[in-house]
Formats: sequence, structure tokens, C-alpha cells
Amino acid sequence: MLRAISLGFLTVAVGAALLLVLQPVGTDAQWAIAEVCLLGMLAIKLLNLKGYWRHLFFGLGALVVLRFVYWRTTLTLPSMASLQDFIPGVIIYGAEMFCVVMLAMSLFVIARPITRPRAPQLTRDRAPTVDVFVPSYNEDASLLAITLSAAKDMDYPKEKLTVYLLDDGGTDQKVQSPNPKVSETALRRREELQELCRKLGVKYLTRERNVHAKAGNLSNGLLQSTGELVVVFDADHAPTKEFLKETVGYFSEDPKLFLVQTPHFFINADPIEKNLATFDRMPSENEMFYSIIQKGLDKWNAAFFCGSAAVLRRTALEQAGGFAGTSITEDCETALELHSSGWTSLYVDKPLIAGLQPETFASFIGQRTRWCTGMLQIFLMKNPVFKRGLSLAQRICYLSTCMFWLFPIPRMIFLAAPLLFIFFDLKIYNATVAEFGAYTLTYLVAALLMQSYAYGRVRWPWVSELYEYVQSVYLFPAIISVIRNPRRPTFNVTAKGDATDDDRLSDLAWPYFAIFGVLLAATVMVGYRLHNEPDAAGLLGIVGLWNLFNLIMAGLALGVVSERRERRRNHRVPAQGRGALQVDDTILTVQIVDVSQGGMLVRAHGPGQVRLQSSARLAIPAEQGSGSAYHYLPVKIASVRTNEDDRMIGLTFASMGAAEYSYVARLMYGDLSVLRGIRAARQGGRSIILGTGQFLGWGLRQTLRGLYFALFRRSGAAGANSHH
Amino acid sequence: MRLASALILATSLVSVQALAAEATPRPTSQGLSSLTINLPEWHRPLSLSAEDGQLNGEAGVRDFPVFMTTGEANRPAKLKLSYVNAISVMPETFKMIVKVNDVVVGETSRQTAGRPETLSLNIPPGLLVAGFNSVRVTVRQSHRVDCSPDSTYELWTRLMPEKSELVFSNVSGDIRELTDLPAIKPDINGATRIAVRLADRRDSDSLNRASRAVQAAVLFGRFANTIVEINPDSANEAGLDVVVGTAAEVKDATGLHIPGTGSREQLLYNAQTGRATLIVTGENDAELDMALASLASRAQDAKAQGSPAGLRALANLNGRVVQGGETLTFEDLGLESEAFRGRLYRQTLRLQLPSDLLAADYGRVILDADAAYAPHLAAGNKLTVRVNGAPIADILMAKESGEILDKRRIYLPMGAFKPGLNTIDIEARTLTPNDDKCEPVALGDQRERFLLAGTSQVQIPGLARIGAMPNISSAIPGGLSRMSEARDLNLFVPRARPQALETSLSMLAKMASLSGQVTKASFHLDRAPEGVAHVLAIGAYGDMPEATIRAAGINPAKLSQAWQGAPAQAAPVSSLGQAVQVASIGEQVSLPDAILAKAEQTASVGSLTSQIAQASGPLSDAAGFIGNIRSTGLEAYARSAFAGLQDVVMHSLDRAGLVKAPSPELIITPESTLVVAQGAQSKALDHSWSAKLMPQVESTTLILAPTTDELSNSVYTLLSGSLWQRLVGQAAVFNAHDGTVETRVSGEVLLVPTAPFDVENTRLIAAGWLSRNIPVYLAALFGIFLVLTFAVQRVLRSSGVRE
Repeated sequence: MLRAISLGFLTVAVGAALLLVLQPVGTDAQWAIAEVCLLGMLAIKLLNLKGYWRHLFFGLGALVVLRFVYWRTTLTLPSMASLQDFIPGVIIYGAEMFCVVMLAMSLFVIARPITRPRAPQLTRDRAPTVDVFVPSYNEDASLLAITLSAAKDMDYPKEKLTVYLLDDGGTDQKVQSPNPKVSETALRRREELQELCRKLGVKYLTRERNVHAKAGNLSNGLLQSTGELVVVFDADHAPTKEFLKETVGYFSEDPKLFLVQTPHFFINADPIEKNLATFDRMPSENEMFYSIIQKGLDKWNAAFFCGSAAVLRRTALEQAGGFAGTSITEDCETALELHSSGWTSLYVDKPLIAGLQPETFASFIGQRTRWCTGMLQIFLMKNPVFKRGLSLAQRICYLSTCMFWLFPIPRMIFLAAPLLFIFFDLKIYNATVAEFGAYTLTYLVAALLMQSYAYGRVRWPWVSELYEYVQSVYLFPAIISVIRNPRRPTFNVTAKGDATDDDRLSDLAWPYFAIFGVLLAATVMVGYRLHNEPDAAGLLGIVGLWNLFNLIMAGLALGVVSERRERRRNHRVPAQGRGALQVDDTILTVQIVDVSQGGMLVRAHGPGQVRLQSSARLAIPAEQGSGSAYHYLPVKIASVRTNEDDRMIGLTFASMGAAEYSYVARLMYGDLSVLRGIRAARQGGRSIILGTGQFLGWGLRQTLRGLYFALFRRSGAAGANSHH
Repeated sequence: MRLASALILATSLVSVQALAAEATPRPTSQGLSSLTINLPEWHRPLSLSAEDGQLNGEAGVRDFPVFMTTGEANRPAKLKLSYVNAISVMPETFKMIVKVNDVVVGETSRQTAGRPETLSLNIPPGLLVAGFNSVRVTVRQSHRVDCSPDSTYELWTRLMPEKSELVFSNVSGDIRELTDLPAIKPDINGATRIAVRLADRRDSDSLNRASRAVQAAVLFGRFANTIVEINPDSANEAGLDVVVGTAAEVKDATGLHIPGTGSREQLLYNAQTGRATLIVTGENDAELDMALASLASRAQDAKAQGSPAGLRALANLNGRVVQGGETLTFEDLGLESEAFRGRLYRQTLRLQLPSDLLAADYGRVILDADAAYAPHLAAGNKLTVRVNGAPIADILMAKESGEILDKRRIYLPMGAFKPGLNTIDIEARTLTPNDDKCEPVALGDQRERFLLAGTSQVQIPGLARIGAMPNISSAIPGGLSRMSEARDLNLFVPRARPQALETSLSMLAKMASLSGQVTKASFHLDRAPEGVAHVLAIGAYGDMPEATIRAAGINPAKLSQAWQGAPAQAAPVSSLGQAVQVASIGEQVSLPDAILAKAEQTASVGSLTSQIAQASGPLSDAAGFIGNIRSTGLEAYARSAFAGLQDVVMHSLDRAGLVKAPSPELIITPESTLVVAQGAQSKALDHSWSAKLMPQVESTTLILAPTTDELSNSVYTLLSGSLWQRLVGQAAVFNAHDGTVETRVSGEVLLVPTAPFDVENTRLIAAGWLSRNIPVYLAALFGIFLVLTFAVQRVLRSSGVRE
């Protein structure tokens, strides 16, 4: 009843507000409104007010946006009389309105992000049985060993935890393939992995045929296991020990819970961060989604399955018939199906796994293409608007998630729009300079402020635009192909752990150079026209600035496609702990600095001869209840560097057995607090002004770097691979 | 008294009686030659007022509608134009082209330099049609010695009204029906004289009736410029007599018996003198009123006939009437789209917007200009569009290779307009680099430089219709009668002074001509009318009661200071005959006694949102701000930065209406010859909620002069040209000696509904009101948003997963 009254009141208030806002009141009134709104927003942002003021902030932003939409719709569209102006004008208008709609939906999604209380801790006998699935396709054994070891090592009653390796690289179909190379590789893989699993105490599963890719693989795993809860880890997503303790408890509280999702957290840089060298300073791209958006979705019971680092309830999956396989993002689709059947989900904002993301630009694009294609398949074939069983809030949330991937379309349109005016003088926007300032400029400032206020901590200014642009070039054709045939787009598995050996230009680079060239030509044209046609100065200046912004982004993208050499084959995870290094006769106490799949870096005090390339043994304290006091890792001295009193000694692992892998896994992933600390340290915002300045600086530097690569590093310099 | 006036009437009408018996000419034959009547040449003067006859600037154009009766049309005719040029006009490049109904009938290149010259052109038979025709005079003139744009203000060609006429032979212009009334000959100044024959000018009923008949006549005759007189001695002059009374009264007064029974009217015509008489009568008062009502409704519905060019010229005579939503081409509005060869192109479009227009920024008039300019013009040339004198937009014409502007859009915000006549001036500077040095080559350069095509369009948006008071600009186009429920107008003419009464009747005639409606006027002669909402008071300072002056918002002390001692009826000043040349917007005229008015009039011609002219947005403020930084040193930089910031803030506040510049005081000097003012206040007649919401508004509009002579002089001067357009705001002071109009705009405005309830109109009115009361708008908007946010927060908190 009270809710009905609240809703009614809200409707009336919205109606009155719209009535006042949607009035043709002229530019002076518009300036007044916009100025008051922006000042209010700025005040709230600078004073960092929360609660009611947060809603007011977005309300004021929405007001400016509404005024812009009203003006744009009623007064600026070119007339139908001249089709050559009308069609592009309407297309650009459509793109802008799409952005407004997406903004509105995203404001709804993050209206009130929630933080869940900690999972209740269950006693041993009340703990449910848990099956851990690690699906794999072509990852190599040492990577899998670490992940499986970490999974096996999770803090949980041992009798209730089973770990399965689901190998799609060694299926019967592959092993019996008529192609001898394929069948031989498959067979060898199968044997190797079966051996590994035996040593690690993990179950090896495979299937007859490769159907439905990962979804089919997981569903097959479901069929051959019995645990009440199912945990999914990607092959390179190693869990920390407390993973299950932080997630399983929720299932006992809510019988309708089907999913507990945890954030994906990466120890390596994505190609953009790597090639722009921002990994250490700037928050990762996925932070925005996992720190804020998922928490917002959680409020609306729309947190969805992201394919890994999640716990699912078997009964729910069985009710849905296994993992959904219609789209290639089977994770989100499964969640959609289960949400529409009335199941609930929740999100825990605590990184409990550490993983790897694609290294090369090509693999990054491949991954994003897959996500984009899959989400659009869901949008086209299982549209959340029409799906029965979803609440209104869930529909909006899923719609927002799916439609987000349409971003390449407006982005490409915004790239092309200034060109239409600069080269062909099409009058696609009917406005005076003063109106443009009062409406469009204020809208952009409001949008920027809202973006900064909502995501400032986890996303620096203009970085979203850069990511969108970089992906749009290849996602745009992908979207076209999905729309043409939703059921059968091509599927590329992301290759993880693919290292780049040289500093070289990515194979995918040429469209970026082409676009950069066109934008550069347009900028020159702007200068030329400004010189020759002073009367077009106002409009041309604005369009020129827009084009300049695109140019800077395109220049930055040139840097992105200039791949940096990855000197390390294996990624390091900062760790802590002490140990004793036994080299020949010397025993040194060392502090562990970082650990990777292939070796370690330790800091040694004290005297003692250490010879390069000599074999050694590292003793690390064992965990409680393991029988012995120490574990021993066979290592080789790879490098020694003196640093005042200390010595930094680089070690590589010698032959590793199953036990050794589990020690390493524990070192790397046992306790993620160091990693979490680093992640938190990166989550510092950048003010809009500083961020813009930085963006400009990057743009210039990266453009030059990209051009240098284009001229001199097209096929890559021969660089020596150095192992860690 | 009655007898005397009856005698006057009788004598003036005797000739009518006599000539009415004249028949059409009989064919000549031997022996009967004495009986043939050879009709003399028939002259139809062009109805030119002083302003109409003046063609200024390098490319002046005037389009005159000329009415032909059926008898005159299709006859061979000669067009005689008598003209005079300014001395500064270069003879070699002067050209005057005359078109009749858009067909060129002749041209001349003879520059007259002081002596009037008459151009006589033959008009081929069949070109003139019955009804309205257009005579279009275009001049091309350039300066003898000066190449600057300002010098073009010294160029003029004047058409002399007394000698410019159409001459027909073997025909007589007969005015047989009311639709022939446009054929009445104007006087030498181009005004149509209407004489009202009243038995007793102190009888307000007969004044009321006479005024209605006069207005109906004006509508039939489409007179733009009317002088109404009461019982003048004008038996032998061209003009119209109007007699209104019961049959018995008419018989007594004129001795004429009007045949028929019941409500009727009769039109009599004396071909020799050119005087027509309109008699409206009935058996009793009721029938008389019915007759007047029928006449009025027929007058309002009468459709003009004529050639398309003539109808166009007629439509544009007082400014093209628009109601909102129209799209007109410049050609429709009378633009001459000939290639321009001079240095300063000036053309004016005149639009008559409704008298109850709400001028606020809820919409904009869109000009789509089709134009072209030649290559190799100087840098810095531009096309400027002014609305009511204030520059609104400009387009730079700076391309070295010339350019064709294809439907270039120019936005004119509605706030720049006002009720009544609005002028849109399109001005283009088209200098060449040679004009700088101004050698003889440059002087004679007649290359085509600029063209504004007639296909350019004006789009008028939907207009919000609501009366806003005080606003004197709506008074003349008939706005006052729209404000009242009964569509009537209460006139207060104290002491019934004859000249004041005549002025009132002339004013009513002008209102009729502009609004196309007959206003039901009620005259109050003894004291100010009580219990009526809107009063128009006309009179001399000595006669007007102080209460009325105060009600119009004028401080009587100021008036007494300025006009102290001026008796109500001074010795007659220069008669109306002397045409005082006055300056219109943007035009420069040399006065007979060589007082040169300034190039741009200094009067604060503002619309109700007087900030429009300066408003160019903070963008230009910022640009100026940056410009300041560049050109000064560090300390000066800081100072200018602060000043710039202060400017921007003040500008924003000012624009938002939070800080109001104090309105200037109205200055009345002894030279002021007319004060027009309007005072309005709200009065809740009853306590119903609708009255509270939209309170009754009472107003007093005052037209006041030191003496009755100056009253009629000034009012005529204002109404005969387009000077009346300059009356805006709450009060205006007119000085007939130099033709200046000073105005005062009031910030407070009361709204009076004039149209029935309509969703679209209400919406536009609301938007207009909000855009003019920005602080209220902001308060309401943000108030709603604060409440809305609260509601949103509540709903969100109780939705989804509980926190």
C-alpha cells in the first residue's frame, strides 16, 4: 500500500517535472537552467556528498540531458526536403539518442549499488558438497597444474570437495580425427593431463564430441558429477584459499539462490594497458564493471554469471537443462534463463581469484568479439524485454548489459559525422553556435561530470572512449554479421598466455592507421577551410574540435596496436613469505618478493656465495597439518642483483612434480592480500582536468610511437626471448 | 445650429443630386454636337504618402497598389511619375525602372538634381485589370563622389505625389459600389479624406455610429492613410462623406430621400469633384444599428480583387499579416530580386504580427536565404539581419571566390518581435577592395555584386496569443479591442474637442485598416468611463483629467513641467498639408530645413525582452575574455580576468532576470509633441478561483499632446508612415520636430487572455511566460526536482534487494 502511494507520488512528480522541463523556453532560460544544474552537480561532487545528494546529482544531470534531448528532437533535425541532409542528420540523431538511452539505463543500474554482508560460515557437517570445474581447451599443463593445485588447496572439508579438469582438447572426436597431427596432439595432451590429474588428485573428464564449446563442456561435467554446488574456474583463474569460505555460506541462507559471482581479477595487463604502459597506475578496464556495475546489478537481483570465478547451484542448472548454448556467451545466457525462472543471484565484491587476460591485441579483439557477438545473440534471440518471468528491473538491467555492446555503431557514427561536415559541407545539425553551447556543450559537460562522479575511482577520464574506439573498428563488422545471422556467427577462443616476442606492430593494425590518416586529412581540411571561409568559423570550429578529439583517440590507438615485447613468459604475482635458500653450502634466509609459474624472485640478506646457474633448494614453511615442517622446491639460480645490503636473486623452477605445483600455487594464490592492496592502490581517480591533460599527452606520445612502429617495426625486430 | 449644418449639408449635396442625373456620353452626331459630352482626361493619382514616395539607398523599390474600376481597366493609359533625385546621385549610373503588374513599362536614366522631372509612360491596354494593380518603381543609384557605405544614406529619389498619376482618356472612374471605394482620389499628401457629417458632434451615440461607418468604409476602400474630419468644408475636393442617421434625420439634414425601407445604405458619387457619399440609414435606431452591423460584416469579409501583383502589393502595404505557421517567400513579401550593383544593400520585409502576440523566446522565425555574392569582394563584408532595428544575426561574406548561399538558415528568436508591425531589415555590405581608394573607376563600377533571391523563405512558427499589458505597440493594430470580452473599445475624448474627436476617428480608421476588423467604439465625452476594463483616452494636456494621466502611468508633474502654460487650443500651427518628412528605421532623410537625423535612430527600440540585442551568449564573452588576456601584461591580465569573470557572471544573472538593470526614466521636454502611455493593473472582480488565477486587468491608454493641434499633427505623422511601429513598451514620447521616439519598457507585464482556450496556445503562452520569468521558472523546476529526487530515493530504497 505504502509502496503504491510512493509509486503514485513518484509518477505525479515525474509528470510535473516533465511538464516543466519540456518547454520551448529559449536559449537564455536554457543557459540559466544548465548553469544552475552544473554548479549544483559540481558542488555535490567536490564536497563528496552522498545519500540523497547522490540521487540529486544524477537528477540534475538528467535534467540537463532531458533539455538537450528535447531541443535536439524538436528544433535541430534537418527538414525532409533535402534528403542528403536529412538522412545523415537522422542517423546522427539516432546515435545520440542511443547514447542517452544507454546513459539512462546505466543510471538505473547503478542507482543504489549494494555491498553484501559476509557469507555465513558453515560448520563442517552442514557444508554442502562442492564440485570444481576447470574447463580447458588448449592451455598448457603447467598453467593447469597451478590452477588445479590452487583449487585443490581451497579451505574446505576435503571429503566434500572434488576438482574436475574438463578437457575439450582431448575429446574422442579429436583423438580419433582423420588428421594425424590433430589426433596426435590430442592424444598426447590427454595422456599428459591424465597423468597430471592423477598426481594432483584431480578427476580428469572429457567427452565424445566437441559440441557447444565451453557450455557443452560444462554441461558434460554436470552429467558426470554429483556435488550440490558447482564452481567454475577458467584454466588460468586460480582461486585463493578462502574462496569457498566466502561464497558457499550464502546458499544455505537463500534456497532460491543459484549464483554467487566474484570479480575477475587479473595479474597481467590487457594489451591497451600494456602498450600504453599504464598498468601500474591506472585502474583496469574491468574494474568499472566489477567494482560498480555488478554491485548495482546486484541491487536489482540481476548480477549475472561471468563464466568463471562463480559458484552455482546444481539443481538450478539442472532445471535449466545445463549451461545454455544458444549464444556463445553461455554464461550470461544461463543466468538470464535462471533469473527468468525465479532464481536469485548475488555478487561478492572481493577478488577471490587471480587470472590472466589476453596479452596480444589480436587475442584481445578476439575475446571482445566473442563477448559482443554473444551478447547481441542474446539480445536478438532471447530479448530480455520479452522474456517471461523477469522483473522490470531485471529487464532493464539485462537490456543495458546486452545493448551496451552496440556501442561500436554510435562510436563509428560519431567518428564519421564530423567528416560529413568537413568534407561535404552537409548541414546535419540545425543550430546556431549559441544554441550549441547552451544545449550540446552543457550536455557533454553534464555527461562527463556524471561519468566522473559515478566511476571516477575506477575509470579515468576519456579511457572509456579510447577502449570503445579501439574495439569498435573490429566489433562493427562483427555486429553486422550477427545481425545478418544470429544463430551462426564465427567463434574464436581467446588465447591466453600468448606472449609477444618482439616489439612489433600488431597484425590487426592497418585499419587504425587508415582511420588515423583520414582524420588527419580532415584536420588539415579544417585548418584550410577556417583560413578560407571565416564565416563558417563558429560551426567549423566546433566540428573541428570534435574531429580533433577523434584524431587524438585515433593517435592513441596507434600506440595500442604497437605491441610491446613481453620480456617475461610467465606473469608474476607479488607474494610474501620467508624461506631458506640452500645453495651449495650456503643457507640464506630470503624474503619472497614475487612468484610466477616459472620461477621466483627472492630478496636475500647476509653473506654467502651464490653462483649463477647452480642448482639450489628453497625451503618454505609448510602449512599446518601437512606432516612435515618444510616443503622443498628445486630451483636454479637465474640472476643475482645486488641492491645495497640485499641481493635480489631470481630463481627458476627445476623439475616440478604435482606436489611442487601445489606449493607454488599456494605461494601465488594462497593469500591475495598483497594483490588486493595493489588493486586498491590503483583505484585512485583522476580529476577531469588532469585526466584530460594526461590524455592529450598520451595521445601525442603514442601517435609518434605508433608511427615509428609503422615505419620501422612492421615485422618486428629480432629480440632475444628472456625467461624469467 | 442644426439648421446651419443642415444648410451646409444641403449645399454640399446639391451638386451630387445634379450630377447624378448625368448620363453616360451619347454618341456624337451632326447637329447634336452640343449634346455630346467629351469626357475629359481622367486622372488617378497614386496614393503616395511622403514616406511611401521616398526611395533610399542604392537600390530602392516601392510597390504601390492602384485600384482600377471596371471602367478604367482595359483602357489605354499613361503613367506619369514625377520625381526628384538627390544631388549626390551619379547621373551616369542612375536608373529607374517602372513595372506595372510585374511587366516593365519603361525606364529612365535621367537624373534630375533638384528639379522635378516627369516620366510619362504608356501602359499597353490590357495590362491594367479591374481591381488592384501594382505599380512598382525600382531605382538604382550610386554616389557621385563617395565610395563608403555610409554615403549611400545620402542617396534618395522622391516621387512627388501631386504629379504622379495614371491618366486615362475617354473614361471616367465611377464609384458605383462599395467595392469601388478604393478608387477615391487621395489628397496631395496621399491621404484619403473622410468627412463625417454629424448634426451634433457632442452626441456620443452618433459618434459611435459614425465611427463604425467610417471603419467599414476604410475596410472597403483599403485605405492605408486616412484623415477623418468632422463637418469640414470640402464640397469640391475628392474624398468620402459619411452620413449616418435615421431616414428622418438624413432627410432633415441633406434633403435626400433614400429609397427603400428598413436598414439600408447608399453610395452616391460626384464624378466632377470626385467626392463620394456614403449614407447609412434605417427607420429607427435599431434598424440603423442593424444596417451598420451588416455593413461592418460585409466590410470585414470583402475580398480584394485585382491582378496577382496588385493583390501582393496590397497585402504588403501595411506589412504582411501573419497569424503563425505560414511560410512566405521573399517575393511574396515584395522583395526586388534584381542583382545588386552597389555597396550597401538594404531591403526591408515588413510583417504584421497579431496584436495579441506574446513576444517571448518560445519559438523562432526562420529565414532561409537564397543569396549569392560575387568573387573578389573585400574582406569583412557581411550580411546582417535586423529585427525592429536590432541586429540579430549575420553571415560573413568573405569567400574570395564568391559563394552561393543555398537556403542558408538564419534564426530570429521570437523575443525580438512585437505585436503589430515588425521590420526585418536585410543589409549586406558589398564593398570591393577598390572602394577603399575610391578612384573614378571604382565609382563607376556597376558590376553585379550581390543577389538575394525571391525564393528565400520566411517561416513563422506557431504564435502564442495573449494580450500583454502595458504594451502600447498592440494598441494601434487593434489590440485594445481584443482585450475586452465584448470586443469593444471605450474612447474618452474630454471636452469633445473637435480636433481630438477627428484624431480619434482617424486612429480608429487606422486600427481598422491594420486589423481588418471594425471596432465597436464607444465615445465618452464628459468624463472618463467607469466600470470598463480598457480605456483609450485622447486629448490635449489641458483637457485631460489628472486621474486619467496617472492611470496611464505618467507623472502629471513631469508633464506640467514640460508643457506648462500650453493652452488646449493654440493658434493653428502648420496645417496638415505640409508633409513632414520623417525618418523610418534605418533610413536617412534630409529634412526640409536641413536637419540631418542620425543614421541610426537612438531611440531604444526594444521589444519586451530588451536584452536580445546584446545577448550573444557567454561563448563570445569567453572569446572576449581570452582576447583580453592576450593583449595585456600580467597585472592587467589579472584585472581583466577578474573583470571578464565579473562580466560573465553579471551577464548570466542579467540574462536570467535575477538582476534587472533599472529602467530609464521617461524624458518629456517642452519639444515633445506627443506622449503615448499605457497603465495596467489587475483587479479581482470576484473571488472565484478563476479570477484569482487570471485576474481582471484594467488599463488606461493615453494619447496626449500639449495642444489639440499638436495632437492631430503628431498622430497623423505617426500614423501616416511607419513611425507608429516605433511605439513599444509602456510609454513613448514623440517629438514631431525631429521625428524621434523615446520609449520606456516596463518590466512588469500583466496577461489578458484574448483567444479561446486552446492547448497549443496555452502551451506556447506558458513557455513564453516561463522564458521571461526565469527566476520563477528555475525555482519551480528545482523545487520539483528536489521533491522528485526524494520520491525517487524512497522508491529505490524500497525496491529490489533490501539494503
